[in-house]
Amino acid sequence: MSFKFLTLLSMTFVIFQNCAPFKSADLFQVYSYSERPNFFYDLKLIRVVEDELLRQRFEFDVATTLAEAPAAPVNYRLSFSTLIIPEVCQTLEGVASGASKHFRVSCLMPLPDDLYVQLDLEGPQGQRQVEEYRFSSF
Amino acid sequence: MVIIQTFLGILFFFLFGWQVQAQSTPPFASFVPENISIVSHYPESAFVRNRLLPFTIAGGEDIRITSARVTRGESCVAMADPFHNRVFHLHCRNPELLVAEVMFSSGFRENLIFIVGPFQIFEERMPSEDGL
Repeated sequence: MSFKFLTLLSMTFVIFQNCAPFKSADLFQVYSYSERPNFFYDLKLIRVVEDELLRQRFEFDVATTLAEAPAAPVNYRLSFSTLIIPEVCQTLEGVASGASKHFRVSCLMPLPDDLYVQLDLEGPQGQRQVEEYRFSSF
Repeated sequence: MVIIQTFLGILFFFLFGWQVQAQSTPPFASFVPENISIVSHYPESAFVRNRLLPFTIAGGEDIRITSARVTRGESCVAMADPFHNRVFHLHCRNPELLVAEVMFSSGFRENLIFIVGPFQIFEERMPSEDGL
């Protein structure tokens, strides 16, 4: 009788462990910085629109900020290339500050191909971060 | 007899579980001094799903975040930045309303709490819609 009770008790304990929301794994998946970052940044491909000439327009949503000082401006430079064409779209440069820390950019590709995007960030005290992305043609 | 014992076992762990959950919100928490505030790194137009949203606790001295948790938002998570003492992050997988609770210390003052939000997390949002 006692053994049965202990078994049931143990099973109940194990079952109830799974009732609590376990989110630790999620945190490691969403935090992508492996070393102390100078900047927080995010570049998302929002959509790819094809026109009547079968050219693809890649539209990106970008957010960036200095990790240590949220009010500080960040200089950014976005360049676009394919394996064949070094500057497939015009390089964009600007200063991200206040509301402009969130912005949109797009690149119209002359031919369907993989697009390489380089995001170059520079802080007011010379901090630097270069991130590269690759987006496949659809 | 076995049924009664099983019922008591389940009841015990129900009660035990609730006690553990209740302890996660400490009764001794206090709210923060006026010179300390929360600053979002991104404008609200950038609050979209699947984006890590950084926030800084501004003002005060020797700020150290001890915990961050979501109180509203099924798909959302909150975390203290592992490299910056004043920074915490919020993240949602789906568009929804988000509220979080951040506990931190400032000098000798411990268990200070900020309620962050509510923020609407969008599927997609054009920049400068809110103007910061």
